[in-house]
Amino acid sequence: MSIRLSRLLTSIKANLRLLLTHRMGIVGISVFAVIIFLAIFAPFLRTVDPMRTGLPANILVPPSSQFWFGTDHLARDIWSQSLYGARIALLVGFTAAIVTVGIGTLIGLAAGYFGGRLEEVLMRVVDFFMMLPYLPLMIVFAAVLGPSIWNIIFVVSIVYWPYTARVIRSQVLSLKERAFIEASRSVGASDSLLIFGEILPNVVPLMFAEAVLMVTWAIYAEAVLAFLGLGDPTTISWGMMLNFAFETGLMTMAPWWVIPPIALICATILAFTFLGTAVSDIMKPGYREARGL
Amino acid sequence: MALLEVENLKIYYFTGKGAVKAVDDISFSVDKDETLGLIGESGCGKTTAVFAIMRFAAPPGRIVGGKIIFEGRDILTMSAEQVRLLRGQGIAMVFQAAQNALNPVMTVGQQITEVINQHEQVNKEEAWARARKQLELVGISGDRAKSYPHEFSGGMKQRVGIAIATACNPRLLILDEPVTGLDVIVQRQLLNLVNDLREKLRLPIIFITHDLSVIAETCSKVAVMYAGKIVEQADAVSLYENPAHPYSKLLIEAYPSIKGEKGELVSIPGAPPGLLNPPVGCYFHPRCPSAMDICRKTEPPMVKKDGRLVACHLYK
Amino acid sequence: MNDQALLKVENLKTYFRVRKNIIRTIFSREVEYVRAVDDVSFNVGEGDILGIVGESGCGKSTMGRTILRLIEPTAGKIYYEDIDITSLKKKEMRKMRRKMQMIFQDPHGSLNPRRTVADILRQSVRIHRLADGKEEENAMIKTALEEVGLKPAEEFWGRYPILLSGGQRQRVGVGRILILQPKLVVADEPISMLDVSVRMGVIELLAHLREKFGISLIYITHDLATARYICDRIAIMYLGKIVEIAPTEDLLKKPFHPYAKALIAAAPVPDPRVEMEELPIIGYVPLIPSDVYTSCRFYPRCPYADKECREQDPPLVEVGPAHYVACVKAK
Repeated sequence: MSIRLSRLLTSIKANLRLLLTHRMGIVGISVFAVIIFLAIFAPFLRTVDPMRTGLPANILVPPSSQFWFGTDHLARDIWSQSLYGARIALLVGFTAAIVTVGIGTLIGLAAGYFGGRLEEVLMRVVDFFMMLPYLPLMIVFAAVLGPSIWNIIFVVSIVYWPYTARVIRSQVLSLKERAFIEASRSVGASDSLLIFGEILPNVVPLMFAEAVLMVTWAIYAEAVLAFLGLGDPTTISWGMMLNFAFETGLMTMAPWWVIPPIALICATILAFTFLGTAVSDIMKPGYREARGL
Repeated sequence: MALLEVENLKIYYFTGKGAVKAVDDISFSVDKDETLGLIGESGCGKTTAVFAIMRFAAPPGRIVGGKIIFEGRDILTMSAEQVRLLRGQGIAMVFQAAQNALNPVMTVGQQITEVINQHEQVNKEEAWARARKQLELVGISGDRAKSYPHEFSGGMKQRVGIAIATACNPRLLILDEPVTGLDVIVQRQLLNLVNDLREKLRLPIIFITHDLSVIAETCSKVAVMYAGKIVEQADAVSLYENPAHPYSKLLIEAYPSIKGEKGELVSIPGAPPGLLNPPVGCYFHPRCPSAMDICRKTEPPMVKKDGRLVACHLYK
Repeated sequence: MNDQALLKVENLKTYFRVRKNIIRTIFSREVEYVRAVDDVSFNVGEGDILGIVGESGCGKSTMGRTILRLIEPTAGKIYYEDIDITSLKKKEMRKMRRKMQMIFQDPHGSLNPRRTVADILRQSVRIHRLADGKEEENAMIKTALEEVGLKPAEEFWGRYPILLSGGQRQRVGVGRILILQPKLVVADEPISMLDVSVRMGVIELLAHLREKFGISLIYITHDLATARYICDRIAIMYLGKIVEIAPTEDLLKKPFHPYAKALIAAAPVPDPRVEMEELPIIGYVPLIPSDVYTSCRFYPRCPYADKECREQDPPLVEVGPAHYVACVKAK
């Protein structure tokens, strides 16, 4: 077991190093590091409790030495809100990504490996889900399920898993034809050993790339839903901040309220997109040779 | 002066770990009436060397030294446009597994006319007529110019590759492993075709292969490559009758024969060296049955012996 | 034929349905098949090495896989140690698999790129539960590695396939099945993708398996020359049928079937002084083999063909000791 773990760590370190040779990888990882830092150390970096409403005198104060990003319509500190918003964004992003890629991979593996009727049925389900327009679907689900961050995560996963399933299935289809699968089968490997022991390890890089992509989609979806008023009002997310700004009609009057969440949403999504591109590039065989590594 | 003269060609791949000497100071020549066979195993640098003749160099590979003189001009100093004009018309190449180099959505006739139109000003009818003639030249009915590559078998696709390469009457033809992977009867038919073409078109050919029998059937001159270097150069008959370099000898002995005595099974133990940190001295010494002390220390120089060139300490 | 044979193949047929375009599927009532293996019968004794020689498209690879039921046969019977394996269920077949194994053609593709050499062999051991505990496992792996020439085993233990040469990869492929102690091995073109200088080394290894362990081998290839070195008997296949089968030297010295003669004449010789013979054959292997054969299937390519050959698809007849030919002109 410990051998596997140490091998895993070495390969993670090696991949990180590769990532840093890629221009997008550098940008992605740096921004990502900043955001994660802000999220983790939010309790230490904040100046005030972000939910605490303040004195009427401090309503809609532009950025100052006391309130670094200014305040909102309830005199809450925008800087602190932004910090905690990062937490929500990452929570939603990572959780939804894990769930989506998890479901998508299982379905993709089953459909790709077994083929036949099972594949037909699963793929029709996938097609059905993909047919439904994702935004209205999310809105309907969120409205029905009620405002809660976990519902948001659920909604996002339900809507996005088919895309991952499709992608994973194609890779499984091509892996299935490789000689080493036939070789393992002829040695006597059972279906489950072939799926989880032979095919799955070769699918992991793709899963990883998909997960990174899913994070961006999830963050975006949460922001949209929150902005539309379907978010969880007991939590401060960047989308909720925008929602408040919009609903109170004070967007144009208080740009300092609106710019931080938008900038942070964009920066996070961009960082993960860059990261995703970099990851899939370094996974391609021949990357090191082409770079002269 | 020879048609093609390669002098001290060096091609290195620069990686993070150092320079891989894929081709390390090789020299050979091809005359108008010669067929040169370049033989060596996978990774010995023969394809890399020949790609350089066409000025195809995949980064991080770089030509770091030497000259390639074709019809008196050094290809390595030509401009990109001059090289483009040379390809197909001066020097043409048929790639390994030409079957994969054919565009699946174009008819074979179109692929031939495409080459013709690149280099010459001809109208459509003339180009198409020539395409048909090219197919007939390689033993395929001209009517099949309208067929797509997938309608041909492997051997026939290879013939199409040759038809495309010879479309503009090149002065030198390079064949990179043209029969590797083909069945034995198809292989023989293809080699017969190559020999016929060579006579009909009076075309000098460079043949790259790892298969000695292919060389034996088609080439007048042979250069044996190992780990980026040429270890022996001789005419085909002399090489077979009396191989000088131990590698050449082992290569010949390792070839199973269907005729005559069954003989002993021979294989060369070990594997070719990695070219990042090649062995000190002669690259072949770890696998050589005649290795001497000096072989482990210094690289053997190329010397003339009995009308051939050989790089081995056994000969001075 | 020997009744004590380890493997008996009787009238084996493997047909594949041809997929046509949608219009023909709707409007045409016939089903078309590619008859990859079309009524093949032979035996392999214990410790025997049988070569199956033919060009691409003759069905030899399909037949090799059908014998091991990696592809399901359409008809016919396969007896291993007198057990009809065509009628076994999936679970029972998996147990049989230990004794009947395959060596694959592609040294690069047949090894999982994400597994080390030791792990690849370990998988075989674990699937069939051959060892009690890790120590015994490791000991078995070490022995197998050394047996196939990957010495010292420690050097190759933790390596990934990408760092191995073609010959070494094939040896790992052999080690993976040797560790199961099979009695029958089907080798599908095991050396055609290797460099010439290492080919004979792998052939030597296969011969050694028979010498030391008494393993029977079915050696599938398109190269008669290497088959000569290792096979006791050779069967020549063309378009799904065996057209000639004989002990090796008998076949090479006195081939009867025109196709066998052509293969021998076409065999490459690495000697520039030797004139190549005329090829006694016409044309090419048909790209789309015909559906049914009412005539000899070699008829379109045979330089000796005449009216007689068009009338029937000849069966194998005996022309010498253990020497059979499918040609009306054989006698």
